[in-house]
Amino acid sequence: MTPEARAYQDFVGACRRFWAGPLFRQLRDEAETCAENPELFATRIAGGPTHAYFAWFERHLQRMKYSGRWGLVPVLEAERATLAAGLPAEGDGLTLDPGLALPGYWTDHDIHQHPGGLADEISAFVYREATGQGGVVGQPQLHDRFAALVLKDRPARDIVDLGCGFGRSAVAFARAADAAVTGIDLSASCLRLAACELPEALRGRVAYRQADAANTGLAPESFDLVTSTMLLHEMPAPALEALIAESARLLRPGGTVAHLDFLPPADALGRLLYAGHSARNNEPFMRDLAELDLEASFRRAGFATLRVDEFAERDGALDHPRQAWRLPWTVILATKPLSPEDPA
Amino acid sequence: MTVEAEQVFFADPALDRMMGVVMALAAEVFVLRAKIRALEGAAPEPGDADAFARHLLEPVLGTRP
Repeated sequence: MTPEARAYQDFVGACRRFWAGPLFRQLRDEAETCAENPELFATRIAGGPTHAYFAWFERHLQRMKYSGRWGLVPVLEAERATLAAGLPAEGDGLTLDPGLALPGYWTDHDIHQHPGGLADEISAFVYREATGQGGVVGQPQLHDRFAALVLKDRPARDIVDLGCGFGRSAVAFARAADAAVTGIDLSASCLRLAACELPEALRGRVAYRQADAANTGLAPESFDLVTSTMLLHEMPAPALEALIAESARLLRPGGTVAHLDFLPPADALGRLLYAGHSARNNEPFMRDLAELDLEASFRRAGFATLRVDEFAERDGALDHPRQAWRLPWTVILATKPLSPEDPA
Repeated sequence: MTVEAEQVFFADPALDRMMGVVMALAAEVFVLRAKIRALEGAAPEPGDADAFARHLLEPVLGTRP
């Protein structure tokens, strides 16, 4: 990346911090004054100037990050040949499926405003650069915290990580458990980058496979733990139902499914910003996840217990009042009964 | 080829478009500042981007200093 492009990305990042910090707090304080009055909230907050600026910056700082003169897509396009040459083809734990039918919900939207999405050969480098160092944007500990939470009191020998992207979540689970981890994703680019960057100590224990998380083709009852991180909200309702059924098929009796995703908060401002983020970040299926009857869907798939809990991506993340905008991270945990007759 | 309309957030869509112009200019200024500092041999100042963003964006809060 050139010094100009680095400076531009620093500028966009700093503006994002202002948006998530001082601008969010201004909106939060204004919303507080009419929290009990839906009509006032609609006119003064949802229809007010602070919210308009908040929405504009959310939409356009993301656009600026990816597109335009020094956006990540054109900047990394200039390095295409070098980047592509560094990616492994297959083998050494990497299995690709060039004939895989990519679902329309995945190919038809520039998710996260990433032009072209994750189908292009070097798109994983763009995604990694957009995500920042470790974890996800601004939350470097997120994957490790999730893995530690899930694996506490739930030892696992075989783990499948659905929608593993370029491997950070799969690596976190492999580091936290003495287990074999299979990462599944639709994006060949992401899987190739994941395989390329797999720490040497984990080679032989982590495998990556190109497949649809809703129809993996993996053997039934071959895992103790099915996980996903930020996957469910990218899928429309029929695909979500299929993924839940597939998770039940993959799990051994007594196994656990653990998803880290986003569900709408209870407060009016939180709900407004959740719906807005879905539209502004080109993630239209967040609404499908928000409206899904999780209890009924997991029960239909044969799961016995379901827990839905807020997740702290860092220490103090759930403290009130919120000091910065955050995605409403939520852990969804379900257990497959030891036998069909055993409801617990 | 279909060109999709951009999302609109302000009561007057002209303001949405003008905000894009303002931010593009601000980005150019920041990049040029970084370039001048490099030509002067000065090391990047920690927190400079955040200070620049705060100075640029504080007016949108609509509050008195």
